[in-house]
Amino acid sequence: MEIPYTVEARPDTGLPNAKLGIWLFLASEVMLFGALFSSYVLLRT
Amino acid sequence: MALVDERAHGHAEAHHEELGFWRKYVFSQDHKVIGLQYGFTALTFLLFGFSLMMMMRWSIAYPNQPIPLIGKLLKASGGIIAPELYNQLGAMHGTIMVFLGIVPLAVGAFGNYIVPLQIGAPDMAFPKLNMASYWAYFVGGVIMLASFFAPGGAAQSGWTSYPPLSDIAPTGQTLWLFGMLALIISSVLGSMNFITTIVQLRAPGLTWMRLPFFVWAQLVTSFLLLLAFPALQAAAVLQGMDRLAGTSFFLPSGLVVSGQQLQVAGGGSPLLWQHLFWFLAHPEVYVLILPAFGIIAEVIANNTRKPLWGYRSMVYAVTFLGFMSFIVWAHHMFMTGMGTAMSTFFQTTTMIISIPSVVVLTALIISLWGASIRFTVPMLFALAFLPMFAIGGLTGLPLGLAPADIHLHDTYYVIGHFHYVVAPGTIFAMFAGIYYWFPKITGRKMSSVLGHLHFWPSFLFINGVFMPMFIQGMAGVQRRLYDGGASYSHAQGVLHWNVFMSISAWCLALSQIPFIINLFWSIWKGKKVDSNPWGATTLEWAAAPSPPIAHGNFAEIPTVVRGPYDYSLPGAAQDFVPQHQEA
Repeated sequence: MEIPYTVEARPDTGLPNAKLGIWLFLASEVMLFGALFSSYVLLRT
Repeated sequence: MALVDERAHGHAEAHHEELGFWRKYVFSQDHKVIGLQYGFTALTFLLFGFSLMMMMRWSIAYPNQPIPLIGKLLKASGGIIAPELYNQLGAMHGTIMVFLGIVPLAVGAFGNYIVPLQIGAPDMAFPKLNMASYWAYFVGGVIMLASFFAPGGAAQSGWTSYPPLSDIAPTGQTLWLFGMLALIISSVLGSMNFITTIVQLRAPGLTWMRLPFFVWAQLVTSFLLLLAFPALQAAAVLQGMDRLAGTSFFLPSGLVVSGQQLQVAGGGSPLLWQHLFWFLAHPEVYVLILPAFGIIAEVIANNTRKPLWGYRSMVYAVTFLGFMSFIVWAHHMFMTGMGTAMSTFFQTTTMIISIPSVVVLTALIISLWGASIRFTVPMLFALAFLPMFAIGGLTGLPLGLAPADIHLHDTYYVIGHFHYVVAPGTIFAMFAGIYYWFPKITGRKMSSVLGHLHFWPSFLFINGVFMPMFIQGMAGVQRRLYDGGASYSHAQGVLHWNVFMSISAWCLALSQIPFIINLFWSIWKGKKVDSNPWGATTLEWAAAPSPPIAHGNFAEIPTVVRGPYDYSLPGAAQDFVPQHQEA
């Protein structure tokens, strides 16, 4: 069994799986550090 | 064609590669095995969380009396459930049911097993992450269970863990935080995987508007998990620092505990925790209900033998609901004194978010119109879901309006409201899904007689448990009281309901026995059925054998030519046309 689009990009999205996955992970990290930094800002003001 | 031959050949080779016991059943990377691992672990946790509630109901109905059967285990208190123990049971009931029971069952189990099959994918996009997600969840569950044996017992500040109480609670709370971190890692890994799978691995021809509604529900759910959970991750790290490193993120200055001033730096904000927590926990509520919508939509379309009414509106509604769920969180905090401007904003968004939920529910109800309904066991649960979720949803409106919430906040009314959404709502949908997809997983059908014996008493008793909560709540009885309000004069008039509700709860527990018997009996002895016993149109039934091929799901990836619910198509040979077949 082989999982499609692990190497080449899917034509209609223009992305390989891993690239989309890592962007989603970064979006999640933005929320994590966004929460941490905004807590810091709130407590400093 | 050469490519297809090569693929088929490659597949055959992979099939012959023998995996050992551990890699096949324990550290498996096959989405179907992981789905089943999630399913059985989550069902076990659901049963455990439910048992905690059985103990709490004893204390509510008969406070300060020794509990029968398991009272011998509580030597220190002479068999009585002390208030401290009651708090632990309450906090862990909430945590276990939400984070270890329903979310892993709805997303981890149903999502993992069904989504790749419904979109015609050979597996999830990242099989190893999928395995890591399950094992992170497992570790989180073990930590949560271990916390019962910590000095001072498990977490006891409610499933919401509000500081300052949680900041100064015994060690169990620290374990709760570590357990939550593991569960959040599991959710983030899982949701990345789901979104990538749904975006990238759809079969040829499966356009967005041809996706079964269940897949849409899982997609929106995954975005909520991905973007909302990190806020609690941050909050858990900060609370952990407060508890272990002596910081004061959530501890205000001059805090007095038991008549003594607390020796901490101070200057923190307890309200900050509530904002961070509810930023997670309100989308979390939609994580609990959206997969349920998805399952119910599949079951209703299949058993009414007609297309879903307003499929497109339902898709737009859940997407809008996903966005809106990020800006309603502070309706849990009307009583914190955060100000009228904030309250006005959040009660407005809360009223707006009720619209898409009603759109979905209305579409499902209208889908029943004029159908010759097959009253199968999954359909009974789906039909019961509709009015139960409606009760849960409508009783939420007074809570979303700040003036009404002042009276109802923290009373049994709130408990009744969200249990109607989650227990006869989501959990009934989970049962519908188990009865519906069981033949897919095992190739056998679950017993219909035992199914009826499970459904009818459950439906009766679950209302017996939760309906009187509205009466008690409107009388002003607070939640989280170990004696169920016996020591308050304003509760005396509605106190007699406590015994009624507790007996209903124990009867509800007894009515789950037919389900447990049915589940295990049917795995080995259930009636054998063909690949598509319900006559369904979606790919998981129509294009794959039951049970599916261990690696790769499909002998050949199907090409989709039509929408998901082409039932009773005029001129077609059968009353359903599978998604990958020309009429």
